[in-house]
Amino acid sequence: MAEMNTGSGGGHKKKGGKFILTEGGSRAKKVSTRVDMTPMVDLGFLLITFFIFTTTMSKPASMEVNKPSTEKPIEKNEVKESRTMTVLLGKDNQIFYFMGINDPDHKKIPQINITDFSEYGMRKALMEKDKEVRAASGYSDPNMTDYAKNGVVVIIKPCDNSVYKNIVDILDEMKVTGIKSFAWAEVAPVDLTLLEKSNLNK
Amino acid sequence: MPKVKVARKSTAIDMTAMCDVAFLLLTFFILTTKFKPKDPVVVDIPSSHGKQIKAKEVVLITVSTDGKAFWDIDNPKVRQSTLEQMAERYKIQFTTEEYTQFRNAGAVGVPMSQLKAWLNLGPDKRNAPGVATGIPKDTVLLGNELGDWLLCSKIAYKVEEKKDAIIAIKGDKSTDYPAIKTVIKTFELRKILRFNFVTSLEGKEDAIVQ
Repeated sequence: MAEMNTGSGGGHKKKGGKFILTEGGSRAKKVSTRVDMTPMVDLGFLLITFFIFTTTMSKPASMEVNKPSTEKPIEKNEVKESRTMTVLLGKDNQIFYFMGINDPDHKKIPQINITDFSEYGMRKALMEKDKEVRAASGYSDPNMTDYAKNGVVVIIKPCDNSVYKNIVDILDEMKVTGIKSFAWAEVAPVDLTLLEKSNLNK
Repeated sequence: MPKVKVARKSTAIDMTAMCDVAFLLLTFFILTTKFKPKDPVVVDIPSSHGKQIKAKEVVLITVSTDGKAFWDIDNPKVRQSTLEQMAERYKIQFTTEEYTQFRNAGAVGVPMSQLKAWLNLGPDKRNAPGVATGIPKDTVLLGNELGDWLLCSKIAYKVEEKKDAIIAIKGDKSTDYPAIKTVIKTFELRKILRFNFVTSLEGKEDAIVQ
């Protein structure tokens, strides 16, 4: 421990001794007031470590959603049919998507694809379609002006038997794939009939 | 050969300072730790690549698996202010004691007509299963209590904190979409077009998929 220099008048210092006898013959033992703090420090840090490890780190993130105003008339952007991709969220985490517009008067029935939320499912499909659309309209180079404006336009329509996780996942996919033009719409009866006809989402 | 005398130095270090630091840190951690208030419902939130939010200015609307809606704000001042406005709206008088209870009550999941009784249940029974029936919500404004809670919370934040409230939805992974749709419809009716989904931060989950 710490050394003490309280000896006087030629009193010899004892190394590591707790008290020193003086020549005067006084027998009063001078007990050191110092306490060994090492165990206390050990305990202190042990408790800190314990508290840090037992505290659950909750990392809530958030996803911001901006919905268009319901009052102002929605500006009808004329989007080419070939650029539109409708994504229907269905039962049991299924996704049904098709290119083009599902118009009841149209003779052409869109080709429905079924996929899921895995990396090689929806994400791959979105990236491929985006690439295809850009290639078709001649905007394949990211450095071109208007490159951003000419990607695929995704319309997300969650069916009533989909769950909350699905909508979060699909919006997250949009963020991951970097598709800026997408809309969250209510599912139309036309789409439901289409699914029914194709014997899907049952 | 003369012997070189090396001065013997004590290897012991004075631990007092270190002890001080250790306990100071300990005290700091203990005092700053806030216990998470008990949730009336367990909600398993989905994950996303979103950014983290500060939970300070948030009006949290929790939607449970069975579609019940809960309202929650952390800030006690804003909570009180919200309840004052709700009381005025619904013509219910609350006592000072009830206001004090409300400040620390956690998530609210009962209709206004039962709120008084709910507050008098005491902190233990309040979060018992089956007590919360969910705040009534609808796709129209009339009788839509959730919409009133939102409106009052927005005003309360403006008055008390001079800030805009951040509205966040915390839904369970398996909550049916129609329940979420009703909540979002309520938001739209109250002209809340910008809101957040509370999710957990997606980690390496993606990397694991091959």
